[in-house]
Amino acid sequence: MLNRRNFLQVGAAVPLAALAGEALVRQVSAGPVIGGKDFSPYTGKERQAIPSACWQCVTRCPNISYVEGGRLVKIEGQPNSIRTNGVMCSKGQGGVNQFSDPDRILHPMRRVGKRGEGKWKRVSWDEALGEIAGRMKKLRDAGTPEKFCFHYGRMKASQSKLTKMFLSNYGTGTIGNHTSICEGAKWTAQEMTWGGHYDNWDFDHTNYVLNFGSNVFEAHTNHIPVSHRLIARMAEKNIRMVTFDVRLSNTAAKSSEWVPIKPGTDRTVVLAMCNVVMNEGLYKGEGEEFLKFVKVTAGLSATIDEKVAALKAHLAPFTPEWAEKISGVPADKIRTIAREVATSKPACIISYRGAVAHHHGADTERAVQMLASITGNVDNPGGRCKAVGAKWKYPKGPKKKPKARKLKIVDGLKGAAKMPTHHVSHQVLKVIKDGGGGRPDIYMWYCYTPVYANGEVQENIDILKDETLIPFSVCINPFYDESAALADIILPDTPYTERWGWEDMVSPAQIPEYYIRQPAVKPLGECRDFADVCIELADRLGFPLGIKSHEEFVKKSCEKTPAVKAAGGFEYMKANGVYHDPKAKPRYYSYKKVLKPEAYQQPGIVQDPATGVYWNWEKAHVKSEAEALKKGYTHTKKAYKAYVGQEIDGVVYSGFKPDKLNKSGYMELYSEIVEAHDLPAMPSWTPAPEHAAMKPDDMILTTYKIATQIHSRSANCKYLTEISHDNPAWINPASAAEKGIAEGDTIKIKSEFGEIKTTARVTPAIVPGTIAVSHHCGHWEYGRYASGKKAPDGRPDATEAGSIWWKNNGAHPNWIIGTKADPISGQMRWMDTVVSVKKAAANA
Amino acid sequence: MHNVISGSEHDELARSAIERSRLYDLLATVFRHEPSPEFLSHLKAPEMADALSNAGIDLGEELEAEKFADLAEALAIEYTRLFFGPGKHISPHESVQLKRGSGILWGAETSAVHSIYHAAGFELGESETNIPDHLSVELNFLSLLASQESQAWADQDLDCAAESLHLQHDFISQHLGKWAAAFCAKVTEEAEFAFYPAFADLLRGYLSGEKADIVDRLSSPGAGEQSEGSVLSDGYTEIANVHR
Repeated sequence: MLNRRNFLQVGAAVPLAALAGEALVRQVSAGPVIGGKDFSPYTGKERQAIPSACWQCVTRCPNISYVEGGRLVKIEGQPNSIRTNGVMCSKGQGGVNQFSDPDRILHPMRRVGKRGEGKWKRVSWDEALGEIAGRMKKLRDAGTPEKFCFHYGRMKASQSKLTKMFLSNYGTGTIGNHTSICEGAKWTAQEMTWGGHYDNWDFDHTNYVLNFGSNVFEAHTNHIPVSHRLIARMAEKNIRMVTFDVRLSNTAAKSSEWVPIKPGTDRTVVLAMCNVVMNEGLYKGEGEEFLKFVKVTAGLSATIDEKVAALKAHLAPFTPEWAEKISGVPADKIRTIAREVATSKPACIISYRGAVAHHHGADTERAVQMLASITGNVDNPGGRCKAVGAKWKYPKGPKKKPKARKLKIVDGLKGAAKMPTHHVSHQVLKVIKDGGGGRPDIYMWYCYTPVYANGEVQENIDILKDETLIPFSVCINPFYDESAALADIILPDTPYTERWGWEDMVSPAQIPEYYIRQPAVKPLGECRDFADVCIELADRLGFPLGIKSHEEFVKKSCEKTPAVKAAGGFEYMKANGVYHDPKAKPRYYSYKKVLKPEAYQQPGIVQDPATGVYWNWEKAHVKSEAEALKKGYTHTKKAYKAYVGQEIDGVVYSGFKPDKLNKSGYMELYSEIVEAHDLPAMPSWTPAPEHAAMKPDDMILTTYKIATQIHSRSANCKYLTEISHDNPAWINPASAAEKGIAEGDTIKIKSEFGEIKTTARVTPAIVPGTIAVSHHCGHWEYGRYASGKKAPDGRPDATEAGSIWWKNNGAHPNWIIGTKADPISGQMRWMDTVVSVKKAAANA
Repeated sequence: MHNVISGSEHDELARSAIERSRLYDLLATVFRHEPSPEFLSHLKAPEMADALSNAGIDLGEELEAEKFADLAEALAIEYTRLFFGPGKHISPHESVQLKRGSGILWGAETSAVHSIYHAAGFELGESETNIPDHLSVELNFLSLLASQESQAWADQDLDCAAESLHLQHDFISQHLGKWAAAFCAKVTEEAEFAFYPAFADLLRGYLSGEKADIVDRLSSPGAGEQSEGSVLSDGYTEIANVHR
């Protein structure tokens, strides 16, 4: 009888010689294909895969954009990226909606009614650029190019190079950015301490992570590249991560331990940890060795013992018990974690806006630099490292440029900040209103939303609307957001899915990655890449930049950059998207590089006796060596640009190269430059004045970002807003009980700047006395998904109802957050606002 | 084999097709861009004005005043408000308008329309900035098909004429006819001037009878063999049958 066993016996009996021995299907890879290819689920056809790059958040991960039937259908991570290893966040995947947003602006627009009235007329590019160039030419011809103010938000790499080439050749230096609403305090503090800004977190090699106010698993300047590494390290090596935050963010929740802390008091804990490390001798070893490169006293002559003594003396008042009183973190907890971080070598100490977007936030970052220094966790494998990124070579444009003239409007109101090395651009509109720094005739903004992204929204609206303050305004945007609604002309930019660019973002692997962006599809409608528009404007204004297009700029950059050229240049990059040298080794300890004498024993280079810095006085535009020695390195304008090296104990090192400030090549935990601004030379504690004056019933408002939205430019993406469209305010049960507030109640949050209404989420996941409202919600423009405003083309069928099924678009906290600045760096103090919180009457 | 018909019948069919082609072109022009003063003055020319009037199309008293430059400016603002916004607007794209459609720009519907253009031997011009399923592009496609049909009648190429009619029928059935009426209703509701509602009425009215008219034309003696019941279908396999 036949059965299964009998069948198998047939198989066993088959003589091999009877088989054809020919493989009909062959294996082409070691395993399943993961990434890099995609197939239509409907037709089975392979989709066109275009290596490109994201531009949702600043991280700008390499991606692969898939096109089918002429439309962008999917975006995935780039599996060959050394930064992301193929991982892509939801925001990056949701980028397909930037392409397909039904509310996109497809043509240049000119307002025909009153500013802000919403009455527009489509105009041709020729008409729009003719008007803009005409007005710009008039200013330039009158010798006042500075009256053209350009204000950008997210602008980096090739886009930035081309735009700034245009601006510098035009002659305006009135250029605002948005760093002060990001992390300006961190950058300023880093420039005070170790020079060039940006700290990479080497999670690949760390054994411990101590986190002050970074929501690294949800949002970060280098989000996916570092967060996926941290997740892997925690999962594979079971390393410990401790997060200090006022809120149980998803990062805090995924940490080994969440330590709740009162808002704005992180510095007390960091200083107390430094106190513990020094007093318990935990600095010995790597920390003590590193002190050779650290400045903790005035002058240069301190020995290691003197440095240890100076640190102990400075830190003496900052005991764990002192910190407990201010921060609410138990002293024993501070001690325990300080010991852990000092002994878990290497440890990575990280920080972000939760810690620094406060009064004297820059000093918090300096304190973190101190803790990293004395535990020996600076620029080492597994520690906080100096950033490594791609060094593109690119066309520089015309050699002769006019001397830039600028209005004094980007560094804040008078007295706003003493050392705003990254500006106080969130106060630009306020300063224009004030008038003391001059007023622009043309205000143009790009990839930025001054109304929505900054605090004091109502004032932003009032100023932008006022033609006596801003006579002419131009918005460059693919979308009609709250700021575009107040422009005179809107130029339709392409979303990032339809443009060229090269990118250079920091590599968490400490190995540079070169990557490009290329259009997945042809620009829709009449949309144009703003870089191309700059090139045309330069032509119209009579100073051609020598570049025909952004694409040509990218192509030439590929030819000029040796590493990329050797890999195959532009064609290689178009086919592959990313390149890194497979033989490159991660870069650490750059400060320890010993310079050869020929590097600093050259004509034009002198040593500054006061700091030990070798600097090139010719490069610093000083007339003679004698004058250079007389004036000195520290007191010569922009001498940091001429820095060569730092002598330490008779050896000349690369040291910590300065940027923006004429600091020495030491890690300057003691800064005479800071001291000269009447600020503490070493990180110290200065409480926020408003917090000291709080009434018993007051609360502190804090903000945060979530994993599925960026701050201001993603709520138009349906996929993302479908996930995250509401943002009830987090309030601790104890605080809620005091105010008679229950879960789901409508509440009013009021500050000196205004009032918002939202709903309460009563949760122990936030410290008492604090209320948290996230960013990204509460749009009143920016298309149907962001604002909830139904367009008349909203389809009255069931699908439409299902399409925007949510009824609430949340609340925007910026109406009630002030544009106050950290008095040191100018950083916007996002997390310091004092508010009163009440249940709304009748729970309406 | 096709029935033999007289040359004059073919001439009549050719003339009818070219009229339809011109009507589509007129509508494509209206929805493609803001009217120029010259365009408005053409509408006011006696023959055109009569034709519109006979069709029951009332372009409103604004046109009567014959201040074409002023009206063109006002209609340019109206056009922008209705079809671009920015912000709230009536997107003139099939993929955004189609009931139970994708609701996005360049959705699957757009790709389908694009494929149909290619299958019919057309492609968008290099400098064309409109998306393939923009109302004016769809109307332009129908105009070209009708023009092709007219030429086929004139050449007495009956297979070609029938194919062109099939393409028009199927394109209206599967695409333009599925969304144009609802779109036109929204235009009528949102417009301030009589101009766009008038042309919306013309489009809606014309399309409502067009499929039946095509069936009639295909059934006419001159339109070739129609022996197996309805020749009209929702698929392009039928177009292939025509070739056979």
